[in-house]
Amino acid sequence: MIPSQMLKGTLSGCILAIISRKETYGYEIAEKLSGYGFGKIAEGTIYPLLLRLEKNGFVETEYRASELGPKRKYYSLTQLGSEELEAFKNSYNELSNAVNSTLKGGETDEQGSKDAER
Amino acid sequence: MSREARMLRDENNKLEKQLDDKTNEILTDIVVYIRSANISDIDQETVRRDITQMLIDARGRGETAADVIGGDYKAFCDAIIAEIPKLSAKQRIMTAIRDTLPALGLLIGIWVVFSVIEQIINGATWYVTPVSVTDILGGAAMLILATLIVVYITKNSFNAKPAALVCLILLITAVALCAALLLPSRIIFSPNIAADAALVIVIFAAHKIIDNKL
Repeated sequence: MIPSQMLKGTLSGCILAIISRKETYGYEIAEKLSGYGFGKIAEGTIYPLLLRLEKNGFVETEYRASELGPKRKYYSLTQLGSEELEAFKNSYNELSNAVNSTLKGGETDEQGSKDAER
Repeated sequence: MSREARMLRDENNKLEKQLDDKTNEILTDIVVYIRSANISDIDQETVRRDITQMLIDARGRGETAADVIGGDYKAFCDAIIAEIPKLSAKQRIMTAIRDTLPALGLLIGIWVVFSVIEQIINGATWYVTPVSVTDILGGAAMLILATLIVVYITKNSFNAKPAALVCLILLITAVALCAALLLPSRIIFSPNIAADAALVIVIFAAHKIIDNKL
């Protein structure tokens, strides 16, 4: 289970990535996130994030009947959303590299200390 | 309320009928809470549609409202409200005036009826309706009371405590009654019943005009 504080900063970017692949709706996004290993995420948890993405002009919405019948709000990425997604990827890679280096550096430091003690 | 918002509201009213009673109760609490937020009518109705559709979809999958929204409905609403553009000060004032005008018109209408009855009983000219200081203060107290009750109910839709609401109503009623009894009942003007009717029409017309602009 990923702690919610960790999720907060990354979920919006991941939602943008999912929407960038194909036009989709809230429940499908929640299911995909679960499938990618985020654990069970309620549709209600991502709805405010989708509202924010819409407010910021990163996604466009269209309300229409789905193939199965009920009407759904479909989200698609805008040009601004694509740029935001690229920015997120860059920032996340930077963060990921920094965290990995820190964790690996920690292991190397520990190993170095043990070798010196011998 | 704009035509678009009105249409969406009617659509939402129909949509809600697809939900079972328990889910409808939860949705009502959510909608009432969202109504208290400083957001436009169209945004309120848009969010209402999204949530209703979310709950209808969930029902089709055999899930409950708690499965889709999570257990904390208030936190869910607060997260939504935080993402919706707020009304400007001007829009807020216009909304408050719009919401108060029908109550004012109704209050004047009721007061005119009682005033005419009182004049007939007293053998005075029935179409002249004397207005006293206490009439105005009593009317204002009633409007404030009605507004406070609505604010209390909407802000506390998830945890409304009837006892606190009753205390609030009793307190304001007591203050209004004390004011009515202690203040001198001086007649300040005596309009004709036709002027009263014209005022009520103007009030409802103003409500309609403002409502269409919002």
